[in-house]
Amino acid sequence: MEKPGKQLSLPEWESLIEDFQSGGPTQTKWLTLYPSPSLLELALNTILRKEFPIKSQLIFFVEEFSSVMIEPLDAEPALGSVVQALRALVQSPIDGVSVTYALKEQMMVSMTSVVIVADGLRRAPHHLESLVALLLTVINRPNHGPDRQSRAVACECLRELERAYPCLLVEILGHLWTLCQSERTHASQNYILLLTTIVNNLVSATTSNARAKPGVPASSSPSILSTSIPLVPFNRPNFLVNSSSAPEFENGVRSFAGRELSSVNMKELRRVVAFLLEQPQLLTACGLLEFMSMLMGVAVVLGLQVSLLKVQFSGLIYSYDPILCHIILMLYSKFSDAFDGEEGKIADRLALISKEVSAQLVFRLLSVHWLLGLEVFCLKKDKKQTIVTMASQFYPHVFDPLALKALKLDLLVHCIIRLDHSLAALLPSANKRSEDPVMEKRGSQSDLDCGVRTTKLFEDGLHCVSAFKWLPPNSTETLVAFRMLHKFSISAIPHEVPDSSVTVIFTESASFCMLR
Amino acid sequence: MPGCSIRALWILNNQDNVVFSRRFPVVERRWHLACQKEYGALYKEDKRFGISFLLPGDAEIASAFSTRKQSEGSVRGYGIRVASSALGSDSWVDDPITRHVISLHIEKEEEEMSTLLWPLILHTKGPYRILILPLVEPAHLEAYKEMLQRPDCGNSVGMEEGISSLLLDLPCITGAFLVGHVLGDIIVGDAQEPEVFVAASPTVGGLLDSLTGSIGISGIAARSKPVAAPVAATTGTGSGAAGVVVSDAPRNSSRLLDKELLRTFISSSMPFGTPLDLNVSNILAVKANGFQSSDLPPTDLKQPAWKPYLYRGKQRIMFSILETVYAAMYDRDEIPDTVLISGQVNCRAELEGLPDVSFPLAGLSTAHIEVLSFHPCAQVPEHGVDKQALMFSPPLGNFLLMRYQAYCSLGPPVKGFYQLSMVSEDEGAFLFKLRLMEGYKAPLAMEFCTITMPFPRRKIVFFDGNPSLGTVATTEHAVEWKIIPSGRGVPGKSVEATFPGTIRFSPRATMKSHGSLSFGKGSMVDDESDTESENLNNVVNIEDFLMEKMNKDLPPVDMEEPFCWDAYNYAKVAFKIVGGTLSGMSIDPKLVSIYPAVRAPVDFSAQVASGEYILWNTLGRCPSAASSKV
Repeated sequence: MEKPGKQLSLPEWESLIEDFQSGGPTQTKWLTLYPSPSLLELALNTILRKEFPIKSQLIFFVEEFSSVMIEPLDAEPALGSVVQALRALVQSPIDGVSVTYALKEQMMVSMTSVVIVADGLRRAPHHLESLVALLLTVINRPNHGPDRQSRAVACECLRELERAYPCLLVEILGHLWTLCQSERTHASQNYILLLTTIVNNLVSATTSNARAKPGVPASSSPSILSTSIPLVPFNRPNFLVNSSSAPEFENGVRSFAGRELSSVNMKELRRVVAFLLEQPQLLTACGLLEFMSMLMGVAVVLGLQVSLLKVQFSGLIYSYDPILCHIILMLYSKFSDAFDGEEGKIADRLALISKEVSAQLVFRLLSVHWLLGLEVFCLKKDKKQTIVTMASQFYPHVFDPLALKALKLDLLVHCIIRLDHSLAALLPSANKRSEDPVMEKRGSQSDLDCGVRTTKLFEDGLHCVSAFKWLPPNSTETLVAFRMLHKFSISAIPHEVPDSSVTVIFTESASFCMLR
Repeated sequence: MPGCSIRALWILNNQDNVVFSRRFPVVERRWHLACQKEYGALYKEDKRFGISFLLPGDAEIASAFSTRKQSEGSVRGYGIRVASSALGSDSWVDDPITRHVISLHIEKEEEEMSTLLWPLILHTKGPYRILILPLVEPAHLEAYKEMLQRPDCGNSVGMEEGISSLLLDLPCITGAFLVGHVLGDIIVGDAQEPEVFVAASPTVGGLLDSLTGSIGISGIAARSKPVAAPVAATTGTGSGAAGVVVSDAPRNSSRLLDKELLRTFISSSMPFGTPLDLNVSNILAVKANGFQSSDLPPTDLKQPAWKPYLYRGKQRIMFSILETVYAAMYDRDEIPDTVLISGQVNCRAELEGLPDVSFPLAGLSTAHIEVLSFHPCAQVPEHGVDKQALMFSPPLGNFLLMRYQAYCSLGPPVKGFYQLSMVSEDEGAFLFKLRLMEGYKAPLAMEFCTITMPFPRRKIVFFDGNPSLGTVATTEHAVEWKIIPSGRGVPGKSVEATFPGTIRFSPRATMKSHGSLSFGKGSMVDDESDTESENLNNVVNIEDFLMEKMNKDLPPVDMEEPFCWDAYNYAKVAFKIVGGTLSGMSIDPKLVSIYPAVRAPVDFSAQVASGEYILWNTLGRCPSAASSKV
């Protein structure tokens, strides 16, 4: 191997990268030869060379393993080199060969990652500021043609910095809002997400007692959309200046949060959020997931009308994209009261997804789990459960994979148990009949109907794996069939319910008698 | 509320070696901050938790994956608790989803105990296994660990601490699956776009010429530069399709793992481990072509992230409906036949700007539609699907506008019966009596129809039989009857066909089963010789006896299979019908409107193909399921 400081050849870099990825003692050997931060310096120098065949691989290597290449004490000079290397590349003119947009973009992402992982704000705040300023210069050209993708990537870098250091960019919110409004290329998604992240961090940082105090005069709390502070050069906000340790950083954010937002500020925030809510149709499904994850928190803090969100987004449940369906489930879990009465519609749709033969198996399995998850959620929130009325929708189809049949049988088991329980609830007690002969007759009739229904559900469910009767005992059909019987037995009387009346209800139920 | 971020991903080959890995340190940092918050500053040193706090190296992942495969019986695992399931293993949780969301126990040499890594999304594609580790809260991992360690007899359905609640709470798992699927398509060079067929009819004058020339490269024209993803304008494969397939999907014939392509895709689609766009065509086109100063954004509208380029050139829209028929045909009084149609409307809209397109879906109200799912670009109102019209703002290239599931509004395209009667263990007589396209009218035309009788566990040594129509070919394990050979389509009329014959197999002793995955501790020992004569006396029905004997050594099937195919005798039907749909779903090109208004020809085509279309042996056992119409 080479002595420290000497350039590594291509095969040496390849073997070094492999050793690092594999982990273990070989990694340590390299680090002994190239102590912090010499390996990083060497890698950066190689990346900046005019020609090197595995540049992109090397950049990823630096990103993935910077934490072991930089000792905390060396962070300041190391991050200085990182930002300097990035600036050199970003400011080089595109020649299409050694300097391309793709290379610049990759370098922006990886070097931002290195700065965050080395905790740039605490260990090298000035280099962090230089990095932010460089990225801001990139994004400050809305609608410019050729570099739109680079602007999108730079927005992501800034967003990641804002995510790592909440409220880092809060003082330039006004500038970013203007840029976001101006951008009309496909990169607008990234401007929107950046703006949403800052707004989310801002509202999350403000304490509840500091919010919306109508009495606070506008002058005491300057506009949050002000553009009086220039975009570049970038200076981290004052409340982060003395954050040389993590607790101090948190205190800094808290002291900022303690600042009272005036009614004017709240109005400004509502304006920004109203703008953001007009944008979702521009976002990809993944972008929308990010957006909604943040916006839901903002909606709560700003007291937005959730019914509006419901109207705007509930159509997503009809999409075949599982991410969009999951967004609705997230909305429902967060704002279940606003969706009161809609549970049936959501459950219906999930049941239909589980039937879609053209959907990937795993998403059909997930839809069954979501249904069960929603049922548990409703139970917890004391809301009306819907699954039990939909039992016939969960009948497995003959061509359903056995994995799906097993899960649909879980749903049927759940329905059977709920029906058995509701039947028991109809009666005064599990083993005491009414003394009124009319009531007794009525009770017996519904008892009979319900019993017949649960027995039928049980038999119908088991039908799809009835081959267990004659297939070898180790067949998958046998496993699935006995799993259903097992689930029925253990779900009817959970371990944590030692109540003997439950046992009586179970052992007297029609389905148990049938099973016996 | 969490979104979706990925800590790391690994791709393993079928030798369980890691061939590609990618870590996202910023996501890892968030994980460590969360752990610190949950367990205190010294969490990494604390072994009480049994959690894998540090991201394992490739070698550790490979070793843990291999160990899991061994203990869980297969790559995916049992998914159901079996006798050999150990406390702490995924199958202990007793849920088939644990074949897709797995855990690994990472062994550290210097530590005595193993630590848990979860949730790892497992997606298999070709010879590769893709593992994706999304970021969850430590509490989620704790909850799963609890499930693995519960010493009781299992989790009851619908319990609060169950895996269902976790999956509902974690959209990152859903997102990670999508990432896994896309990566899988990329590594095997199978990033497919939905097919759009263009009818080569004279009404769309000169279309075929332009398809092979400029239209096929219209995506390129739209992008004003050569596109990395080559646009395929190939003729329809198999059976001489009447039209051409238009696609922008990259076709990579190389089976070698293209790591550079993977790196490029990953760095663009999820720069910091947070997926932002998973559209392979768009991402690779942007990477390859970039943008010019002349690529101006629209003046009055914002360009969506899912449409990085705007189309420029001759305008037109193409719709293709593709239906797949799934049928279980029993020809028995006690079991009704089931015929199910899974359809999709594919579209390619070569329109300038950012227009909206709308059209009424003929058949939506009359066809027996069970499920309708839409592309994200479709505007579905809050109250559900509008039966009158569908409006959407089309993305670039081919896309799947809508998926549906329906019942057949016409009769089944192939009906009749298949009987196979075994006169001895190795010899049988069979009879097919079929009617094809009964009641169907032109322009519906059957392009081909083939029936296959598979005998995967028997070797055919003799075959005799003459069909009333078509030709017959035999292979070692199957008889194939081409009722309508490719290229001799039968337009809009019903066809009757019969096929009687006899078949003989070589004695069974030498046969091994095919196509089934062994899992569990199933014994393949052939020990029937002692009991054979005794059983023969007790069993009245020779068919049952033979079937029972045949099925004795059947290995269990994989959970992805609907049933143990090898336990049944059946004939599989394959066909293609062009000229319409079987559900009644259709699009009238004259009623397609575009806003803002523009003149653009609209092309519509439809075709039907067979999925699992099975004629069960009327004289033997057959799998079925209870009808939900109660």
